[in-house]
Amino acid sequence: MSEAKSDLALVRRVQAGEKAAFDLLVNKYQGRVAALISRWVREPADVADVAQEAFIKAYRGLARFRGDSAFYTWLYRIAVNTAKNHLASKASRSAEFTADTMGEDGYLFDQQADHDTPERMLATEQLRAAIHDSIAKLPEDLRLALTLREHEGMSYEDIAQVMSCPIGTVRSRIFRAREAIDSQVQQVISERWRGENG
Amino acid sequence: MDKQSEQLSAFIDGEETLCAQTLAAIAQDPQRREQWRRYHLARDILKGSATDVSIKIDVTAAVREQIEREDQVVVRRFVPQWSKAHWVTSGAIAASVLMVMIQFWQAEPGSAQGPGALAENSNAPVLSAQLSPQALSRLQGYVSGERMVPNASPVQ
Repeated sequence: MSEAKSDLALVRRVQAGEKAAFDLLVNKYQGRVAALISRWVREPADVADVAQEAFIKAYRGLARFRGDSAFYTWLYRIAVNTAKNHLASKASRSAEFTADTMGEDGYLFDQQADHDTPERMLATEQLRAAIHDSIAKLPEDLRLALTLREHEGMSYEDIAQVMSCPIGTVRSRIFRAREAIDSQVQQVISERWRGENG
Repeated sequence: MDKQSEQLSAFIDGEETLCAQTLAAIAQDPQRREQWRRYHLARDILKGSATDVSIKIDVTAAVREQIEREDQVVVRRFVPQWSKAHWVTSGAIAASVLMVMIQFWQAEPGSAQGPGALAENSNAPVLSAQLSPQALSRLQGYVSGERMVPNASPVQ
């Protein structure tokens, strides 16, 4: 099942009244949405507020979401519009925004919002390196199962056929591979956030 | 081995369907939520999706609270409107029934005009004859619009 289908399954559950399914969608996408919003909005507190507003709008509009596009594509548009509206609203209240801050599409850009700062790129690169390092250290059977799943997008059933093992074994191998990667991810993230706080 | 973590991993791949109870348990458990988030983060990084690990953000609880709060406001707004409509509808039904009864009573040949003659009129319809003068007066009050809310104190 692709990510779009997996999201759609959660969306259908939200539409059926299961709010917990929306919590998982928020949790899954808040990082990406925040990264997107930070292209327009500078202040971290504002980024969080705009992200929250975008998710609320998404929840309210979810009844009309039919699944013609991927959920994230739909959410992406909501987040971008919310960020732009936030800036337009901020500009109307403040004189610090001038015509120089207008983007090509006529919307305002926060003057200091600099998306790909060296710090941000470094943080992402550190994590990418840690993930690839942990994959390289995985036993062959775990690495193959995960690669077939993440890179080839194969189902557990197809992977089981390729690896000549039961589906339950595939499931277990992919999980163990994820756990090994996750311990590295946790370490990098906690070190980074500890560094920021201390 | 953590069975629920393995379930979560399979769920991410769309290979497991979680029941509502398990899904809610994951959504409410901060550690599980973080795990779910990190699994997706690693996935995004592997696939080269645009993400920014330098941004520390968690709006899940805030979004949930706002949704709950707004839903409660919607419910509060809805209830009084329903309640008001209920009483108006009840009054309208009572008035309609009375109108039919009075017209039926007046259309009877030889019927007396007025509630005072009701008891003396042996030709009066059975239903009307069962009404006491006070009840009839009260019902006429509904028609004239003096009382629209049932069970309110009588108009003096």
